[in-house]
Amino acid sequence: MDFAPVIEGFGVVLQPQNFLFCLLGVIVGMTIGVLPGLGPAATIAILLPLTYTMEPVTAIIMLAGIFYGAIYGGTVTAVLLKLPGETSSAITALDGYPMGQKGQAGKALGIGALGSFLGGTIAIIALTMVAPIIAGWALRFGPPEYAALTLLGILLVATISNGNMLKALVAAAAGLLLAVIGRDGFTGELRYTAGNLELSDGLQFVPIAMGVFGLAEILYNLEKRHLAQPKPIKVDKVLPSGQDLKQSSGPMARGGILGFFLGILPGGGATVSSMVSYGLEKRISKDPKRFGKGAIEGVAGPETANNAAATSSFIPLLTLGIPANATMAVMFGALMIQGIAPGPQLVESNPDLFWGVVNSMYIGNLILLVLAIPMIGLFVRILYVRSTILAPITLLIVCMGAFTISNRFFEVMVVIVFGVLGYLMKKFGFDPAPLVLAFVLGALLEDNFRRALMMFEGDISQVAGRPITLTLLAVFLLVLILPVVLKMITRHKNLNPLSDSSTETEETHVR
Amino acid sequence: MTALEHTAEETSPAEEEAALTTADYQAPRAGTWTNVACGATIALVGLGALLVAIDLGLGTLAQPQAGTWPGLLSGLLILLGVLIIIRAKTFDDAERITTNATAVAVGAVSLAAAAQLMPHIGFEIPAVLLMIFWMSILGKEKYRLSVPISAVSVAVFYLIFVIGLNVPIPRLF
Repeated sequence: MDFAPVIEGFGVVLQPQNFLFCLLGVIVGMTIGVLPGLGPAATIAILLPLTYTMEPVTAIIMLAGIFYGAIYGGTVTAVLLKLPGETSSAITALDGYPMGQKGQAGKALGIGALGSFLGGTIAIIALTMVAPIIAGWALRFGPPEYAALTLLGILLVATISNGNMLKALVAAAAGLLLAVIGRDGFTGELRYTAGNLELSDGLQFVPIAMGVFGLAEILYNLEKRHLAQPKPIKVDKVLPSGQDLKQSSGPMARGGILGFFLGILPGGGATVSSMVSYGLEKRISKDPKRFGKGAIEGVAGPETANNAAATSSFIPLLTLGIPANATMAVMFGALMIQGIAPGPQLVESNPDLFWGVVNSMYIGNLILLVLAIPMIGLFVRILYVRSTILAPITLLIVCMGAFTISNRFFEVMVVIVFGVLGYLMKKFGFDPAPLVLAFVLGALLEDNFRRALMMFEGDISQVAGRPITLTLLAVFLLVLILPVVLKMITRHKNLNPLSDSSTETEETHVR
Repeated sequence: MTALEHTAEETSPAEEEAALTTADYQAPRAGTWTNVACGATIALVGLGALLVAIDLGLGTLAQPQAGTWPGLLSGLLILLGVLIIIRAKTFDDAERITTNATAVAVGAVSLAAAAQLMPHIGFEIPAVLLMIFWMSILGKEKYRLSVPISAVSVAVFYLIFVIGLNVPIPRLF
């Protein structure tokens, strides 16, 4: 492998100005990320407009900062409030919150930051090695392969999403249909615009993501305004000791490797990996009873695993152009705005941008580690501010940000419509993540679907001549049918399908 | 009867909710009919989309037209909607719409109203009013807190977006 472009990429990233924006990204990412209900996808969507006017490289670096800051923001609330920002840090709350109750919040946050750093670093190094190989392989994909792969990606996200699969599939189908709105790329006809000229270019991705992730959450929280706000746990100054580090090193190493591999899979790679890591550490522990009562391994393993997974989920995005989860869907949108089309061609045609993205992750991750610990006190202070004050400020950020997308108020109205839709989806048990993901991939999927049909001249049996497509479609059917079959078998045997760790996760509410 | 309804009977809802924080609050569950209504709405949206797709031309597999893909998706939505109606009894993930939802509706409408006003009278006044409304009317914060915070926030946004990022947002100054 040729390392020259990698090194050159570092030269770009390390310019003082870029470094500063990365730092800024981590800070605003963490600040918004600790707000109630706002997970990484929402945080990045809300802050996206800040990067519009920047140079691509600077924008990407700031985004990487926001990305890592937002993820760590979820860890902070999991430990201090027992309110994980997203499902993947729900596991952290299991032992992180009890650690806080024992006066070890600083220790838990410190180990969390270190674990995140190690997990991220392991995954970035592996990504540096693996990504160009996968991209090279994917260059051989034709329309049928892309159609099948995209379909599989959407289905996997719908299957692994929170909640019912049937409802997740509805969200995915709705997302695909929303992507149809606007001018048809093949015939030039206007579709589903209802005569509205502003819809002729189709809906944009950012206002949809801002609506269903950001505004929906703010609206949902309005329902709970009559309830008291939880008080964060006091943070001591105690940092992890040598003994803690020794105890955590095994879980971190295992979590990092586990997270990397599970993160490549589409769907909730980060969530699954933190659950698997927690289960694994509990199983091999000499004293499993400590888990759930403040075991440091229960924070170290899952935090490393979920950050490794969050990072390695960049692999399908950067090499295949297919986002593996909601956060990646938002990153996909962000890169597209900068004129970077993630996909197999990126490494070949724009190596400086590709390596710029990868290297900015190294830097974002490092800045997070250096910053996280000294700044914990500040973030705790943000947690004390009532959400009745923070929500309207976030609302204004959303409003101004939405206007910035294309300098018109139409986008603000789109955010409001999708905010209300997202609120209703949340109320009625529909996970919005498949909708956003399917919307992002909708045009790509239809395009390749129609190309494939024309290629086959309507004779679908020709798929048999394309082994990759056939395999992908077989996996697709397997993923669709397997849960139903498994359910029937377990019902038949009358077994409880839930393991220890998964029942515990359900008890921890995700905001 | 669900476990949740049971506890609600033992203590009055007000008493129970006063002790709860947003971290451990769980909204009351909705019944079968909510899920039936969800399924019906989905199926109807699918039907509407299908009619538009037919209008666009469904085409054939060999010669797909503008309506082929949306037609397939509409069919899928109708199917999923019907499946949700059939299985409505088995869902326990929907939350009941209670009077608490009024605040959500008012919040969304106030936001839309502010966004409609901004192109006409500039963003500053609607933004300040919107924030005061959300803080003091929806959030019950004192005016001596909400008014200065709103004014300062809008001033900071002015500095960031208008002066810093050069966003051509309609404005007074």
